[in-house]
Amino acid sequence: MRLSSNLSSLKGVKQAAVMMGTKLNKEFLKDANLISDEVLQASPSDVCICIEVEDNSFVKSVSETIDDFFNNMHSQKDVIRRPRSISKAMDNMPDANLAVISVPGIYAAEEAKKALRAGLNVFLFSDNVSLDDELMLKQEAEKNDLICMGPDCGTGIINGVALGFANKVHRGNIGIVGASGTGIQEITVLIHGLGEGISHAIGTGGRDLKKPVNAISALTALKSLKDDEKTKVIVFVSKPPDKEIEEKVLMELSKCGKPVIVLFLGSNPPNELPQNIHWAKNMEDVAKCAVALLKDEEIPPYSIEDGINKIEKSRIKDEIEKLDKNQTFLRGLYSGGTLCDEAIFILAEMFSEIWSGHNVGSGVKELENPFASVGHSLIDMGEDIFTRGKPHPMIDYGTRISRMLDEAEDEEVAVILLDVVIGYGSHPNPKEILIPTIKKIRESGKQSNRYVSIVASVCGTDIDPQNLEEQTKALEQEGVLVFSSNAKAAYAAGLIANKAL
Amino acid sequence: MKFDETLNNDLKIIAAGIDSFAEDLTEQGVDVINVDWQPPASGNPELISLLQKLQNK
Repeated sequence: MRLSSNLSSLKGVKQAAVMMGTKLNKEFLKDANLISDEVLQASPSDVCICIEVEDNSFVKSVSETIDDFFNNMHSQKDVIRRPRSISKAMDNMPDANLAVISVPGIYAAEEAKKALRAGLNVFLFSDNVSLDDELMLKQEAEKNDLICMGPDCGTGIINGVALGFANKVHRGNIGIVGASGTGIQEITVLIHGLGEGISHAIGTGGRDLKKPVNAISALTALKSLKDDEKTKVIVFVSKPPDKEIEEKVLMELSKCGKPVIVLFLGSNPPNELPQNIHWAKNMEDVAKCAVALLKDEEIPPYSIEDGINKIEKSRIKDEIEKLDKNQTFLRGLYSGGTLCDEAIFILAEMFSEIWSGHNVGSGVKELENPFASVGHSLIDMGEDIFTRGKPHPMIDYGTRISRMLDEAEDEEVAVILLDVVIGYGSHPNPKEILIPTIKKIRESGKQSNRYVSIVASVCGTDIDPQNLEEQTKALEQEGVLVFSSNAKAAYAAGLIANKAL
Repeated sequence: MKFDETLNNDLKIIAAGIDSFAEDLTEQGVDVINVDWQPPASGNPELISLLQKLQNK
């Protein structure tokens, strides 16, 4: 993935994919027009490096990048001999307690099963694991008092250690259970920003709260946080579960003996809520409630608008004044699925019609072609259709910046809304890729005498590797309105598109 | 180690798959072994199925 990302960002490279030569990957490469006879003949254990360049003059620089990458890799391997399997690794680390598995989906269930049977807990980042296999793995974990976080689990923080895509945050007393990667990320960074910290953030994978999995991992996580002395307040975040499962989870939460904040994104609370459970409106509300409950303070009333200060309102007004009257549409281009969904639910209350690139339900229309926006459109660019043969958009900004340029050319677009997620796992320096694209948009706008507003939230902390302040300042210098939460960014972008402050 | 106990102990991790995940763990000072993972049976689906049958016996 790192090589793919390096190649994609090279001058002259239109697209790049680095994949094992499996049958499935060859299909992806064929769809992406990156196939050749040589690749077709590759075996599943061959690494296929497929690159489309603008013209042959770039071949030399691309080849040198590939050579350098493998030369560095080989020199490291000379020093460190790595075991070839999880079981062989356990010979060297018999007291291992967690396996972090991110192999291709078709092999992932078997590797996770081996790890569980060897007594390891599992953080399973891999997706494309069948529902049957997910159930099998979680039942295997449950019977041995282990946990299988995932499949498709992007984020975890266990004992202060960031797993997968996760941010560096203070340790503290708020525990999180999340069937949502960027849900966990946004809430943890907001809690950090409010001066508090995280005991553990346990991901379950996106299907844990659906039948037939029936919340196996979520309930294991809840039980552990209930018994964990460091955890004083519990947060539970997910997309809306199946109804029966929601009732089961709420029942368990009501018995945990600790204050709880629940966010089932886009869902209304039941008629009666147990006394210890607070129902939040969005992720910013979750963080504020969690911190208030931890301090034993009254939960403040919440509205997104109240969190937008005078200077921000003044900037929103300035943005509106720069738009033509026919510029009315918002285009949201997201790398985080939950961040995208949160923005959709906020904006659905501000627009009469809203489109999404994936099925969200709740009256949101689904685009016939996710590659072509209509009206107000919000796209999760981490969906499979965009990531075939490519790294996730949090790592590789190529597909997203290409879409930004397309959307900016649409004369009816008023505002482009983005999430910029930093932290472990993410691109090492997003501004390096975003700023040139934003400059191109500004330049093109000057030539056509049409301004496009750009609004972003940066999901990160002051101790993340990418330096939150530098990323924010760089974006602001290019006229991007940057907000500290996705909720505020979405709301502000909605005001700009509606030209109504 | 049971999950409850894991929450109260240092993590000792075996990583298989994306190298950058293991590198990030090393950067955090975590004890981690990064497996040089290859598809089993060179990715041959028939051999993999046979291996799984043998291992499940």
